[in-house]
Amino acid sequence: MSRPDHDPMSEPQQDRQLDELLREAFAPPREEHFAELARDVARPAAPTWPWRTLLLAAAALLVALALWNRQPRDHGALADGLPSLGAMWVAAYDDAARDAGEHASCCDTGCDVEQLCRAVCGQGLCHDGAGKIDLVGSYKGSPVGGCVAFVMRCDDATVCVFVMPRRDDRPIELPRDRELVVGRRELGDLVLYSVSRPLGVDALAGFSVP
Amino acid sequence: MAPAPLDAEGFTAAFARHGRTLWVLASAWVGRAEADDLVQETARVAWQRRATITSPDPAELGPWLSSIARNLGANWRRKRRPDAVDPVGLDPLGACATPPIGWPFDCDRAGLSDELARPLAALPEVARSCLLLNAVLGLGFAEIGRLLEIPENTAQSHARRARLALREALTTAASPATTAVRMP
Repeated sequence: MSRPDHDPMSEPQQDRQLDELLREAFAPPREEHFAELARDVARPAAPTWPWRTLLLAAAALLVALALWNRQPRDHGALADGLPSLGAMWVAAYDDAARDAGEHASCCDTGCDVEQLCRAVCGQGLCHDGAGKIDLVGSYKGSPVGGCVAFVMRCDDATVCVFVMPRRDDRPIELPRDRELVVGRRELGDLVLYSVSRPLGVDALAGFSVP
Repeated sequence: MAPAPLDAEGFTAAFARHGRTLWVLASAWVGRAEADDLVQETARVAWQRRATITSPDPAELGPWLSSIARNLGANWRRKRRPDAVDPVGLDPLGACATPPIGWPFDCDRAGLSDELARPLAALPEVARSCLLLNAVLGLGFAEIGRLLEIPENTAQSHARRARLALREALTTAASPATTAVRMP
């Protein structure tokens, strides 16, 4: 540390000495120091992933998928919040099978098959009546999902046949605890399904389009 | 028509041009140890506000930058006002009373004697700024007046009185009749 000597220096000389001390004490950094400082400040921020936007979009997508999955499928005339088609068909089968000896209470034995199918499904259908399977009549019991249902007999076994337009066709799943089999056949613009115990015969073979 | 906002390159060049002045001003306002931090904060604020610049000439940015630095410095000091009061209770050194608390001056690091540091710290910020800007950087009082937004004559008067105070302090300290109490 130093200080100006107490001698009869002129004031300007003292001031010059003071200034020199101040310059030594308060010498600023070089200009490049401040250029670097300004460059750091003005440097654009590194781009960041819009994680928040992506997370929100993903959450919205998940919600949309969940809501979509809960909506009932649009199957035209066959589904409007009804139980699954397979469950309805099994219920109809059980109903028809209970009338083992009668069948009359749940069937219209005098129905016109061709006319009925044309009216409901847009195309006529015939059954030749040949073979071991007899057509008993059209089913008039529990709901069957808007298709045409027929009750048939194969020896002592009950067979239910369900007819729908091909445009309304979709995979049919029966309740797993039932030992029933499902047959399928396409005829013209129609698709036919049969529900029965394992019979060893094709319950749908006798049908044809006129 | 307002000038286009400075781009990064223009801002860097302008700030570098005035950086040394801002640093000395910052030293006068908040002390030498924190001058760099204040200058950095000044740069950050200036960059954010660059759209408000009314003059396209970088040379005209000095007063604008100085204003930012002084405002930041004033807030700086209000937040960091030390609680301790000078316990020694020195006798008044000529025209320089006990330095006001608020201007941290590390005289040891600066290489200044206590006799010089105390009267310097006792000066108001504006007077200290006028003195340092003139003594350290050689700025004229017209320029200093523009930076501090005071008349040129006022700036000159501040500097003259500041030098007088320091001279008197040194003279008093050097006098055999003075009973100065050294800092422990």
